[in-house]
Amino acid sequence: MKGLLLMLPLLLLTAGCWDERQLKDAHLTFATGVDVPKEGKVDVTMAFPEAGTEMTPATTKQVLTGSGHTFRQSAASVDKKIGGGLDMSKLRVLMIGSETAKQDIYPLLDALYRNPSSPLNAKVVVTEGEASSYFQHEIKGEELFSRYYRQLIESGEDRSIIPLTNLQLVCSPLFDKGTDAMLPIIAYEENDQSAKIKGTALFHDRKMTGEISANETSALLMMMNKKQKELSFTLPAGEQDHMTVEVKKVKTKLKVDVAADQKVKTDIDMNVQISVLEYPPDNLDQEEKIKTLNETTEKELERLMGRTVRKLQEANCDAMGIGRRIIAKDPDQFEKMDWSNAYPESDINVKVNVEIIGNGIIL
Amino acid sequence: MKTRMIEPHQLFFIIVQTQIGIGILSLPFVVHEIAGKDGWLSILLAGLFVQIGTLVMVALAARFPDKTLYDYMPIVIGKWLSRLMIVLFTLFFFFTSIQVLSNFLIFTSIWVFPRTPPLVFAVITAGITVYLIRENIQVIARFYVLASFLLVGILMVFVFMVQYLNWYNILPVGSEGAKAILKGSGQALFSLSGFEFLLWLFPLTKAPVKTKWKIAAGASLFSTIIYTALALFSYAFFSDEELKIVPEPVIYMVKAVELTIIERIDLVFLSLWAVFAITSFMSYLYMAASGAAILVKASNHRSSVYTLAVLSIPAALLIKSPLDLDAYGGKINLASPVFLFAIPFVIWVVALLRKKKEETS
Repeated sequence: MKGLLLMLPLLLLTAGCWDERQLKDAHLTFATGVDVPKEGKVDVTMAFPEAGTEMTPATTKQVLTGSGHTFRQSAASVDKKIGGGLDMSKLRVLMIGSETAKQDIYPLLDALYRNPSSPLNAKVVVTEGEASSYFQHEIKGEELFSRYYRQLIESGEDRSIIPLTNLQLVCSPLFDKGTDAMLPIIAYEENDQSAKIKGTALFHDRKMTGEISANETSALLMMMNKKQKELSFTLPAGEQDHMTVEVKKVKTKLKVDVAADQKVKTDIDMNVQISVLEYPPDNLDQEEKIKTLNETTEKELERLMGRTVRKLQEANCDAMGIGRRIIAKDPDQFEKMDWSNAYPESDINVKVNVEIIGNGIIL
Repeated sequence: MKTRMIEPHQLFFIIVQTQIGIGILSLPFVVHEIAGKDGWLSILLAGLFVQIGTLVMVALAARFPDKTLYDYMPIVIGKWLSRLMIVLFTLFFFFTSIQVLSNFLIFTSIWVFPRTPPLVFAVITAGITVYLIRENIQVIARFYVLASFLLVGILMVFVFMVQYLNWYNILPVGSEGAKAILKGSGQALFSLSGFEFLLWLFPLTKAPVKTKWKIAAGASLFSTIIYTALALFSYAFFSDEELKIVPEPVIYMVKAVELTIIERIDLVFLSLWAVFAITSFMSYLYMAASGAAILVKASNHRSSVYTLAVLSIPAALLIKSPLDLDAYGGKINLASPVFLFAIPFVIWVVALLRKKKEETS
């Protein structure tokens, strides 16, 4: 009985009325775009969905833009236009315009890192052109921007054509002096009325400094041992033919050597097991043929890797974390060398060893 | 009270539940501030100190197998000095319990309930604490064993995070220097305190001396491993520079992942953490109350539990910001080596010199 009396006031108190946030009062945004039209100004564009019913699918109800000096101020100015309180805690996709990404992107994200209820698992993407325009385009057959963009990115991640990131995962390399960040980049296709994964935006010092194509991103992910569910290439095989292969297994060894004169040399040694998805000339049961195909694929892959590495160095983006490895070995040496200057000059060699292990259900 | 005995596994979980608490969220950051990416070594080192401390306590307690520290102190160091010691220990436990409580209040307010007045949580926490710790040690031990199943929830962090780790972030091991690591271990000691309960629980545990020592050492080892692993994971997940601005790294990294069913794992994790934070508070308040009961010569510890619980609420609310908490915690940190190591050691040496010893009855 005594215990019961003690429990009663506790039950009343645990109702927690101060921090309740009712869904009916909240105006949730699932997709948000950020642009910096000129220094010191931030434009935030938010898409608000309308809940669907069994008969009608969910649609984008409103797209609103607010401007201010900071991300928060701009969000507050969007808040002034909507009924109900703005709630960003369900954000699925955050889009940053490509021109904006060429300046320091951290100030745009700071507000989101600081808030305990903010969705650190939201996807961050760079858009070719202004991010706000991606909420004005018509996307054929897709009523809800946020769902479409999120699925676009998630499927791209699964197919290893863009790196697996989110708001939190990108933060680590943004701060790290030995690794550089990368984010997926999407473009709008006027003819098809759809968006398209273009590749990966490369960053250096929190600024976008270059980009690589989707194919090159797959190559990069292989070099980083970060293949996701699937990864496939279409490569020239022989005079005129092309062959589409699926990478089944990659094992990459990355070795970094710093010479006495502080010249950095990186050797990437890769063992790849592939399975043929498409190859019209057939006859994949001949040992001789497999051997030549192994060799041509090796050569093609090495060429692709080489091109990717060159682009990374041109953008001064150390996405593979070579600098981090030097720190791990000898932090003093890393301090002495100016990594921003040393990395583009460093030597990176890729060696690929290919083995065809499968050919589908025909030979 | 003497007749209330606990089982060896209950001893294990009482120590573990007291050690594992608020440190889950903040310890990796706190040691990183001092020892950098070698902070996990500091925690290991602190674990080693704790093992030494445990050894001293076992050696001391084994001389008086049927008595708690408060019972045999008068025999060893005299009546008045031992009264002073009881006062000091009671104050130390009470102040520690306040630190735990205010830590709990500040974290819940920052992370989950920004608008709820801290008073509400203080009253709820103190309420359930009183409800449990006014009972005898057997009841408390049973609850702790039951609540320890939630440790599985802590392990989920390891399972989810493993694919995002970059072990190059913690290399090279030991680059921050021995001095920084040693200094960091001082910070880690606070999170591992709780093993000193052995001085009181030793005579109450039904087991041979050697088993008791193994259990107590095992409990501290277990907590040390959990803390070290949490620190290792956060250091491998965050880059060195980023960790400097993330005061609660463990919960922050849980926030980055998402499951198909649960989107905000951090909230689930925080609810589990709350249990561990509150059990730490319970332990310290119980120790403080039993000390106070001896001082006022009360027949049982109930009335002092009520008094101290009521006092702890305003005291914990006085600490309002994380900065205040740092300052307050710094003082406790300074005092804790004295109570955890120096005092038991001195009493043990005095008992050795004066040849004070008792046989099992």
